[in-house]
Amino acid sequence: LSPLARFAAMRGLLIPGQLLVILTVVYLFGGVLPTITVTHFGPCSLVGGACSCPSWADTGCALSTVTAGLGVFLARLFTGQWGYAALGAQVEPVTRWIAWRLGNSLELAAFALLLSALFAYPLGLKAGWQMGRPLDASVRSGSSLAILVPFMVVLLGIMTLAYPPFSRAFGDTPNGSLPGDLWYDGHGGQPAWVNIAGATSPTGFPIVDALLHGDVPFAGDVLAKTLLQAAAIAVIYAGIFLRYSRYAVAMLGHEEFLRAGRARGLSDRTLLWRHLGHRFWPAYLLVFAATLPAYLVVQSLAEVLYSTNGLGSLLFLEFGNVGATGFGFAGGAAAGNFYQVGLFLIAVVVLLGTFVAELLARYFDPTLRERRR
Amino acid sequence: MPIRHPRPLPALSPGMKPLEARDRDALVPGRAARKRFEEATEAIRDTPSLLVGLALSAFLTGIAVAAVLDFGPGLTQLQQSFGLEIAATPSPPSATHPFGTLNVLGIDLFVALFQATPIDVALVTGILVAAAAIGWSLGSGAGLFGGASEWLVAGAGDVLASVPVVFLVWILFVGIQPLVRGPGVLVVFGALFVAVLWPYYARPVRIVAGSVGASGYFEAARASGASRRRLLVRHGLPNTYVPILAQLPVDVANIFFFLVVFPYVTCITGGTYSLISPLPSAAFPEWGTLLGKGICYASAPLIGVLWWVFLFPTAAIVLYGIAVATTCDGLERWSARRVHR
Repeated sequence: LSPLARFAAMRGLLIPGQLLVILTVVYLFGGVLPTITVTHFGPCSLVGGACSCPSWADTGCALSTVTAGLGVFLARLFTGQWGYAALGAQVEPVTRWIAWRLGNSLELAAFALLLSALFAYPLGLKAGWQMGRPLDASVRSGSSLAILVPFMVVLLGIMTLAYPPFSRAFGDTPNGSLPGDLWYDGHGGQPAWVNIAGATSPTGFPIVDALLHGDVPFAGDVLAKTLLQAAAIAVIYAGIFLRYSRYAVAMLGHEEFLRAGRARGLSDRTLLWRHLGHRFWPAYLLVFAATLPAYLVVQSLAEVLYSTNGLGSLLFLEFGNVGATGFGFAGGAAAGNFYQVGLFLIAVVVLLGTFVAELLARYFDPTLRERRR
Repeated sequence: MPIRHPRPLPALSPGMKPLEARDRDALVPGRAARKRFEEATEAIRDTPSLLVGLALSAFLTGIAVAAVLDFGPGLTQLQQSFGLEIAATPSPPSATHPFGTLNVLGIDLFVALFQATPIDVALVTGILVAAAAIGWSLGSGAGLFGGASEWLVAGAGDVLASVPVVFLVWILFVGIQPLVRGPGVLVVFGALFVAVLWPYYARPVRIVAGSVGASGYFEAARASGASRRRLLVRHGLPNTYVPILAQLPVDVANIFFFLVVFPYVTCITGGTYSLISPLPSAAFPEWGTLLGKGICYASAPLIGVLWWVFLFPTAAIVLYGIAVATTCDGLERWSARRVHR
């Protein structure tokens, strides 16, 4: 096996273990501990009838029930039996919510990550190259401010600034993932390919669907909204990203290949954008992997504040209602289960995202490629 | 990365080798201490960000002490006024209410933020110090000696990194909070944050400690028979703290994210936040909750409408964050200065 394949095999074997540990924590803390105070939280929701044990002091009964419950919890998670989730009065299977909302979240993420990359890559490279100089100082201060000001205030502040010009230009509010009622009134009403939950067909990606149906004004309005919301997310995420990436560039700046390039008379511009830029890709990918959880949190919050029909907003809204809706789909609760499924999906996305980023980083790293030869 | 080289041994005989200046100082009572003090003050003067950070920290500590003295036993209960509560809209800043009011909560924002200062400073600083201390010592031990602590640090880091910090703290808190009542809730909240955050400090420290462990001076100290404890305290900890300084400001953001966002989300959904609140009561003064609830109750999705609801709590949080960030930045530069000297 090549070193890359060996690394992939070893790293890949770790993922199920990591997932199992984190899901056990989610089950114990989200499903078992709350049932100890049954009266406080409503009916017992533990699978297998843990509530039928005489008391929690009966450790044998409790332990076997908890273990059985964990087995059912994991089995249902991995087989897609995810129960129901509620948004206001609307109760639907979790899988249906995901089908309705995944397209909106992915579309927003695609633009936000693209804008972040366009912003953070050249700025991180240049700031790290000129460590201690004015550009670096500005980047450092800007990224610190983007982190220290509560994210909610940054996201609302950007929307406050953009609201009047956006409304004037598009006749619509910049919130939401689809055009608002005012916009529909001026454009012949809501199209038939948008359902009651705000999901578009056939693909679920609003911009793509609008173009497929030839509704260019719809696509333009949604594109403008998505770009604005993505830009707001990118301001925060790029701030987090730059904090790590400029250090990565600064560390690469001391390597021998740059000294050799200088000795051969290469210009700083060539060294920075061609040589260092090329070597920066692996570090860039690793920083992305390390900051992926932070990205997911920022996008989820943006979806709540901008009323986007995404999975992040559904997750946050269920977090807010957890005391009222009960714990654990494994117990068959009618609704309020998306937060556990949501954490499962986030863990899967983060673990796989990190795995792919680490693999790509190794693939792009010329020192490793050299070793493979 | 600061590498502290061991001090050269003083010459056994003046005839063999002249003593270094530092060692001559050591022979005169008081001179070494005075010299160290002079060096420290010179270093602080040369690193203005450290001065700014320390000044801001002193300022916040002063306000916190003043609030404790002013409110006494009533510190943990917001002073709510029925007159403000029934007002139709929040009042903007005025001579009576310098930071404006929050109508539904019935509070004067200036008084509430002042009252919350000791609580926030103690809570967030406590979490940061505890998480950094655990991560620093475990990470150093893991990097220098390996063994069980290395497995613990690597395993905890790998597992915890798969879920965002705030979500993981939330799920742990949901499980434990019902078992705790009263002021203990705040302690539990802090302890859970520490439990989730320490691997974020331990992981980078472990990597730096690994290179310290492979250095010549560490090998020399080990070969001279130094105990594990001495190796850790004398050579490990002083040379591995820099990664912690980069992480601390990020975690200020993580902690306040939780404190601001969950009250807001629970408020807009009409959820039962009191069941999962890290605060002992709804009238407990805390900066983040004031911001989150203020935005929600003020029904102000846009900042321009009720700007004071956003501005003053945000300013308090950012001021604390800047104090931490500049202190860390200054310490990092101070450390680099020591190495270059």
